[in-house]
Amino acid sequence: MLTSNVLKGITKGFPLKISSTKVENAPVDYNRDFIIRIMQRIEYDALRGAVTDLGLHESLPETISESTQQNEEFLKKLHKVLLEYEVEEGELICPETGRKFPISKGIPNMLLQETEVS
Amino acid sequence: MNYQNRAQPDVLEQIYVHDVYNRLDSTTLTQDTTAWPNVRKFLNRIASQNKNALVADVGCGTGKYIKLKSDLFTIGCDRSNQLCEIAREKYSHIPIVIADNLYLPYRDNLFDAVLSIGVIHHLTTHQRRLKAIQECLRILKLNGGQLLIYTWAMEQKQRQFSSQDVLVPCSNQQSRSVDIIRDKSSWSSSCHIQENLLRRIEQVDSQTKKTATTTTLSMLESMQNLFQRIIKPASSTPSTPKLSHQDQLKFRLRPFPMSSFDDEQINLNPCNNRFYHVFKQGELEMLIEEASKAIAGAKIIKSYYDHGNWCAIVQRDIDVGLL
Repeated sequence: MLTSNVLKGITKGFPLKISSTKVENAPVDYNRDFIIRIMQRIEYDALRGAVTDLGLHESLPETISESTQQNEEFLKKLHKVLLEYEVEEGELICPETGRKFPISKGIPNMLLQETEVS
Repeated sequence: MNYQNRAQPDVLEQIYVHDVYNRLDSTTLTQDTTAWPNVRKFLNRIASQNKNALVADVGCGTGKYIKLKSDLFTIGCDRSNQLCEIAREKYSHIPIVIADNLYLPYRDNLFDAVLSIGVIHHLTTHQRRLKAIQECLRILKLNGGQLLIYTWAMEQKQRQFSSQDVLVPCSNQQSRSVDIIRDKSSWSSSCHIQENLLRRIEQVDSQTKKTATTTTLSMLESMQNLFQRIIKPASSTPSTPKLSHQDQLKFRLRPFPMSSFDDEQINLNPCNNRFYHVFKQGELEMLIEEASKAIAGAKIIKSYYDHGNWCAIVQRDIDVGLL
């Protein structure tokens, strides 16, 4: 999920919409410092969009205030959403072009044809 | 893909880089697991400066640098789907993406560090190598992000290159001194496929000369020169290459049994030749400086030679207040 938050489509192409047929949830050690640090680089609205796309039962607040940034429960939820959920099979869809990038065995294929970029 | 009708740089990279990495067996691909000490040092420094830094390993191969440091979060990408799959099987749940260095699928201004270890030298034209570096710089954080680049050097003790653009047989015993024997036989046996490709390039070249860009044409010319250079010695040398006295000495020193039959087959398969543009001293710095013109705030902070590679560390630094 963290990876999907840093990926973009052909030119701007952000945020990519996610459609999934197989989502896995694997426990990852909680690292509070990492979550606080990565929070500054996350596009939060895109992350909320991804949670909706995947139909995850994790409710994230609409906005993050100073106090939520220190809220342990919120940080743990962010950790779970960013690092524990993984799309094994599905696709990422570019919002500009509708181009679909397949995800197979947990690996998104972001390759473009030469005709798409020239 | 139809190679016959297109002889573009991307097709040559498809044949001589991507197809090779997708075809080699996983044992050959995963045997090189040692991390360069200076790459490790670079990552240690990044981690000490920003704990939990975000790192992109562009051209991560089988992923040896991704899990090297547990206090860094590294996202790997590679052009070869096979390499990505091997990496993901080897280190479960690592974040990895199939992507092209020329069009990195990442947002701008994002990573604390970017690794480009042995990647840029697989691109066949100056423009493509330039674009690859620009992409790595684009995704670096504006304030202090650092890029580490390793490219193969023309100047090497153990190998001599006849030109800067070369096809190098894939040997899975690269560190052995007997390589020169294998290399020779493999170079001559590889001429057949190269001759065919050359003919195809010439056909396409004459058909498309009017419309082709100058970049493509100069690239084609340099590839033709390269192939001719490879073919020449072979026509004077029969299928078994003559060995110099020195080579024969090495041959005698060769441990026996050296390798299995399968092993030999992999090494001698001309289809497994990889394209390299080997860098001359100073060339990497010039390329980075050219790339930096399009990327604000990028500056070389260190360049050095390491185990047959020319290397550089580039930092992006912009006074964010001025933006």
